[in-house]
Amino acid sequence: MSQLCFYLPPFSSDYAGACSSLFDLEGMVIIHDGACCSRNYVGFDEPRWFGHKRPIFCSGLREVDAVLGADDKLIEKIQKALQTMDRPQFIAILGSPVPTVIGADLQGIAMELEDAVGIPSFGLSTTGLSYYNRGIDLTAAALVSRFTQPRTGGRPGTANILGLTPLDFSDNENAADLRVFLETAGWRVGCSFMMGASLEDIRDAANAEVNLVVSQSGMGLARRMWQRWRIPYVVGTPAGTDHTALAERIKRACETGVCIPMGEASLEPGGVLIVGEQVLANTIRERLAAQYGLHGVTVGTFFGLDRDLAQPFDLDLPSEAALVELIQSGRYQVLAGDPLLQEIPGSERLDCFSIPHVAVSSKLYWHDYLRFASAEMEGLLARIAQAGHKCAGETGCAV
Amino acid sequence: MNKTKSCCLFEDQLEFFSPMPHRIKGTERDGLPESFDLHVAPSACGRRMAIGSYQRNSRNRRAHLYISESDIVSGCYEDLVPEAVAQILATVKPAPRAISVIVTCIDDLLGTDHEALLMLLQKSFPETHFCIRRVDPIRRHTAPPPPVNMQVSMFSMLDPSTVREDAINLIGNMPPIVKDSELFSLAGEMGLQVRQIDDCATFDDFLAMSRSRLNLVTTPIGLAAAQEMEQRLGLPYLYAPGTYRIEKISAAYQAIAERTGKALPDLSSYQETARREIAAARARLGDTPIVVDSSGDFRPLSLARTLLEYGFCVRLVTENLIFDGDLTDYHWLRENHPEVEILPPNSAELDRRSEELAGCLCIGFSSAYLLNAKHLVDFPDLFFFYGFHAVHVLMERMIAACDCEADFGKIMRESEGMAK
Repeated sequence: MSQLCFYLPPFSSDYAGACSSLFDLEGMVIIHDGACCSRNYVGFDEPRWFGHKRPIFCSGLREVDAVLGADDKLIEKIQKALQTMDRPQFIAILGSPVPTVIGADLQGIAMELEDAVGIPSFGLSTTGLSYYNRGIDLTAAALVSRFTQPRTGGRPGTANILGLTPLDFSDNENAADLRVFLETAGWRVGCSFMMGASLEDIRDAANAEVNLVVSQSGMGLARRMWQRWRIPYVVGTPAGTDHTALAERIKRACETGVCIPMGEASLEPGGVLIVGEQVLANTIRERLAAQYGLHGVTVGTFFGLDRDLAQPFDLDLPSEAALVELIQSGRYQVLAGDPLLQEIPGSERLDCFSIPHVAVSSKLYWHDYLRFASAEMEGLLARIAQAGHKCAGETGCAV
Repeated sequence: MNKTKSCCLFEDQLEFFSPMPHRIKGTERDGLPESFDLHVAPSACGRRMAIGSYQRNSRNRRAHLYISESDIVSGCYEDLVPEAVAQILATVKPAPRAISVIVTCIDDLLGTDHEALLMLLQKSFPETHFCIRRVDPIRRHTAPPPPVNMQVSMFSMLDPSTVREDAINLIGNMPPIVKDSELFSLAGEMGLQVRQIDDCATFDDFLAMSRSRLNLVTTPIGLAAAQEMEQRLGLPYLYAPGTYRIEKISAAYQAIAERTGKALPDLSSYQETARREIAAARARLGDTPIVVDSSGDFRPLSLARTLLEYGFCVRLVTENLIFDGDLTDYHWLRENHPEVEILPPNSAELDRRSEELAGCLCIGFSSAYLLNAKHLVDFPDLFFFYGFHAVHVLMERMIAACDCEADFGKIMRESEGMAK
């Protein structure tokens, strides 16, 4: 039964992705829900919540208001709250399962609110039925559509970061490392969607020379910015200690004006399975091939396989049951991914490597997170490679 | 007046949630023994419960049945439940004796027929007990709130019994009452066994609760379940919610003795110790302003009143949803101490009061964090305190809190990760 899940927790939802995207901005955010959705976000999907009092609220939705469609009550509550806080730069109203069921028109409510208070407002059709990457994409699209100014000649040497989120990168040094990587490669960081960005950065985002997409959740925006402003994008994130190939790809994309969604390493299915966020998983695979000669690696993801980033043999995992079947199939001898994957029966027979993922295991590991661009990660890559070569030797599967 | 009714003190407003430490120290099981939870909801809804179950080492007794958009549109997702139950019974070893089907807010709007679903499950799987639990905060201010419903549904699995044993059940305390409470020794002296869910090693131990002589309701959230059991099982109840007032604690023990036909042991030494401890805390705290937060006690208005009566300097209480039985405390506060402010919990207003109240001692983490309170009385325990022992613990912790500054970061760090 594909909808039944025994071993893995529910993953971060679209509203959590949206909230985390808006966290750093000077906006007011309202999750339209009874309480649980907001508590899910602040307690389990936002490693930065402790120590930062951000104006992200629960609407306190009640059954009677949901049934009666009392949108005016929500607007009144927001107006009342606005009287006691600094004027936000925008207001975002996010959906959850109940507004989805009743078909609430969040964009319509936002327009009415904007008319009433004179603050740019928008609704996001998050549902709690999709995963975080959809929420991040929705939010980035709304912000760019609303605030980004037309391209005015461009700013040479400027690179945006797309898809940066604590749900993939946690709140350790990973975000800062990305900036250091780009700056060391000679770039000035433009807008860092969606960690560390300001509304000013978003307004100026169309002037970047190139976009670096560091997670799948940035792909939608990358495509839109390519279509609209012909800003080429490169997909990948620094992993381990050697980032030369990624830096070269960014340079090449700028020189040629061509998007580069993947590296050129020769890859094939093998006995190693990496399950997780697709861009990080791809980057690890590319590093394993380039640095360690391990080419037989399959990437699987629960978050919707982006075919532009996938090898033909990569796996779209629609459910936990699909992963259970894979793990028990005997096709793989090495498994890398969130530590909770090791709860799945059969995984004990595999060589398992932990790469915590906030969107999966939440606060269980978010402060013991891997620093992706680090010697620690390089050591992990070496160990995965060693295990991959060993299993290839034993089973004859592809190296 | 029907005591199960609840009401709100404040109009609805936007809510701001503090980071809340999740208590993870040392329990192997939450909920009923030999039972299993099937969470039927959109994937987002079950995240915090699932992660919490990992933290408490109890993830082996929970599964999630994810509802998709098409299931909602078709309106017949309950059809999936029997199939999921069959798979649980085939997969989980040993097979659970009881399964709680947990539904969320959307269920209230889709009009799922819970009674029909329950009958179908019971007919299809006659060896297994079932209940349906609603976790639906969209009804928390209008209908019995989710923790009340949870108690009602859990105890609905008890069958009637003609046998009456010398035992009392503790109803309403979600974590168990700690064994250090004199409740257990006094009950022992009265020849009464004390039964509570967390002490049940087997599902049969739980079923034995229907044979007890009396339900002792220790918090307002257990009252509806006790009333239901009185009606359905003929099991009487005594409503004696946790309190810090010496005379009320004494009266509760007196009532237990009367209702079970037992002789009440001498309480004077407990009373005297409690008075001494209260005086010591009062002397140590002096005029330190106190904030009583709803995350620190089930009945913050009652606690605030009691502290004021003991001479403490209470400045602020946070509470919104109150049960009718506690309305008298609210009115007493308004009439006798109008200077004591009452705010709804989760109010962003608290953040703006942090400068004014920063030097306070706050009972409960949530408001303490928002106020950046200097002193925090925290309850990280997976226990509930009751009787004179509760007075002892509170006074001891208030004194200890006065002697050190709150370290919110340390508390949060200790609440993350897996159970040790």
